Amino acid sequence: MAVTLAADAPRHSALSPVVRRAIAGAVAVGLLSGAMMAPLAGYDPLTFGVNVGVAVSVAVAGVVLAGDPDQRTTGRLLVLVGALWALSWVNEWRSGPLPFLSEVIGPGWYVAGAAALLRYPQRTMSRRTATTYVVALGVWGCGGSTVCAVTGRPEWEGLPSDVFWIGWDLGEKAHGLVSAVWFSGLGLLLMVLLVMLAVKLRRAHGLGRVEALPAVVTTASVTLTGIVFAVVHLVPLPERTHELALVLIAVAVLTIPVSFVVTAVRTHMARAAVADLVLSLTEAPTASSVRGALRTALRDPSLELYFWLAAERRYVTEDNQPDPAPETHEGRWAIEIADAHGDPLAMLLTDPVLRRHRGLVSAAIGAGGLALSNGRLHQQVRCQLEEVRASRQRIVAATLRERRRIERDLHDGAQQSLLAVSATLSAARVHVDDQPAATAVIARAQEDLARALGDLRDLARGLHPAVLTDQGLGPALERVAEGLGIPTELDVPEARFDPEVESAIYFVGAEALTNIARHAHANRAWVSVTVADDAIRLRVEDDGRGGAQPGAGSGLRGLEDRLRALGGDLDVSDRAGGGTSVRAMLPCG
Amino acid sequence: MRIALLDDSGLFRAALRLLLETVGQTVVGDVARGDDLLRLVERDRPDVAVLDICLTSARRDDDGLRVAGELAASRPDVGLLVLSTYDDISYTTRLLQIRSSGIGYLLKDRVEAPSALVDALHRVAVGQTAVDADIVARLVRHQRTSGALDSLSPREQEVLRLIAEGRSNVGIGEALSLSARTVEAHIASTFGKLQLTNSDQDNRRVLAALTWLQASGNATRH
Repeated sequence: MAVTLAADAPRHSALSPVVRRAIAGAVAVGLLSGAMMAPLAGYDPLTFGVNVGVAVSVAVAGVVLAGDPDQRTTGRLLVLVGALWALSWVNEWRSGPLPFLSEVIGPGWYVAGAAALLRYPQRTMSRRTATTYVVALGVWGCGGSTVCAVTGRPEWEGLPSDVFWIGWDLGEKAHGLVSAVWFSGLGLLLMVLLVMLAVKLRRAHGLGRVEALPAVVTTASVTLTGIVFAVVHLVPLPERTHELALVLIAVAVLTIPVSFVVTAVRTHMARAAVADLVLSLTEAPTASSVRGALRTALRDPSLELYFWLAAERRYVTEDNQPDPAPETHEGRWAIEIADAHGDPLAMLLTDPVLRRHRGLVSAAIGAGGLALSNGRLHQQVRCQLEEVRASRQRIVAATLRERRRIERDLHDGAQQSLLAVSATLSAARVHVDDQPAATAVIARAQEDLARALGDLRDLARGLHPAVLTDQGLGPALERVAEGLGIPTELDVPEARFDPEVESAIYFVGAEALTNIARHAHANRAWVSVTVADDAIRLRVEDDGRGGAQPGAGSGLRGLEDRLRALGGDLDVSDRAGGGTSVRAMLPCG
Repeated sequence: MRIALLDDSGLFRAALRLLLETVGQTVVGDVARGDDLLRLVERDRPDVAVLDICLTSARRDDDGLRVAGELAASRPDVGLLVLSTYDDISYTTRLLQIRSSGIGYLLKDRVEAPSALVDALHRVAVGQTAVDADIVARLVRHQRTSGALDSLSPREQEVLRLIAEGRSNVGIGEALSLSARTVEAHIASTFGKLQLTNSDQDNRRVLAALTWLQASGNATRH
């Protein structure tokens, strides 16, 4: 059984080129950042090691991420973060233009980092606010750092005064003010970033949340330490604290690659859920169980499954509703699934987040293949059954219409004609009043005619009694009871029902009453009709000798078929305290 | 007697006309539609209008009852006799509610014996009430089965049946060969036992008797 995703799925197994690229990137960034921070290695090897580690790991995470076509830009942004991070440390060379450069583009790494993390795991920046924010952060971060640099002097930063520096000396006080404003703004912007991340996490669901959570938590921690750093800069604190804050930031940034690793592992675990899917579908699968299993495996509770009905060339839902309306496709990912012959089998409507997990979806559909096939069979049988049921109902309704038509024809046609003959014979009898022989012959003809009329009326009543059409169940059953010669209590509501329902209930009641009169040796009979829970219930009971067999009377047997065709039920049992109880139920409503 | 006929079956209408004319009645006209009957009655002023209860074969409704109602309103002096194939008591009681005298409900089967038909025609012509004996007999039989008539003596049951048929006190006396006073006594005791209000003036006592026969006793409906 081969089940394929109609849309092609990219292959996920070939990781080796990515590994090669990652190693190359690690070596390149390691050498570059090592060179940039070289002086630091001399007097503070620990800080040096941490910072090189940060640059390398972030860059490697970026390289790996860039291997996924959907995450290429995000990955490149992360590589840029690693590079800018290393660049922010070139001031350690304390000579030439390097310290000035570090001062100006130093904050660039978190602008790039914010851009990367705000978009992850989407392919593009999802909201205009996010784009606006990144631009604002870039302008304020890099623009502000430039303003700070040009209004300051290298010696105020603890640098030798002979390094290359562009700027105007406005005095240390003015520079301090500019720095304070800049850091405050930066702190505020970073707080906004925290809020945006929280909103993003709230909006994410299913696999989207699985992916986004570690990155968001990491970003939050980096941002928080950034805010701490800004505060440290604003409030005069010992040099030692300042350095500690820097190390803290480095450690926080180090969690970025870790978070991507965690995400990878979690996504991998989701794929392992496919194995559970296979296990859960080993038993006879129904459409809903397949859907439930897919929902679990793909972590998408909103997932919908539709099966293809080849005979009708359309998709149907589990409840045999026709093809989902086009508006339900909106904002969903419609996946058409084909069977081994390439013919349509089913369709999934899923969370579009799953587009980034084609491999997982492919695996889940492959694992559920046999179950999907069985599910479709199940669905087809259900549809056919429903069709048969509907057709049985139509047959019952058509039969009823036909019987009523014939009854009316007999009543209005044949009966009137026979009555006309009777009147004519009466007239003839008047004419031959004085001839006893002729009178006797005519009287004989009138008797035969009366019998024929009686037969005709019995026939019409058996087809469909006019009193049922005209006045409903109560009067119709009353007429039957009247002819029995057994005291009968009737409890029938005056309400009218569908002709099919009235007819079926009437004939069961009439048959049951007739059986009582013929076989039960009863002294009393009871007929009740009740309506509750969208169902009409008839009960006919007697106090006779009982022992009636369900289905024994062929009359009731035929009526049982009619009831079942209308979704009803018939039950014949012994009545408590002697006698027989016939119960019929029909949905009405 | 001058009679107007309404029946949508042409065959039956013609046969009935033949029968009525054979027994010496005058048929002023026979029509198939209710509106035509109203015009015919306006023009020819018959003593009795005979009409079917169901006039359109496509629908089973009270069209005949509607025509009867209009006729009763516009020509109170014309007797109304409904000839029907429905031996149904509810049509009878509804018809009798249209007006309190000169009205009758007979089954078409009565054409086999012209005497009952002519008797009913005469009774509605003079403002009495006529209800088909078969319908009443069926009700009485049914109530007898249920035991609802056990409190009445056989003679009282006969009296009740004749009242339901629309007989006058004189008619009951003739039918049972009883004197007027004896009939009155039987009627009083029958109505007393059934807790019905007696009234000799119009068909109210017919309705009361019919309603009792139809509703009381074993058939309890909601």
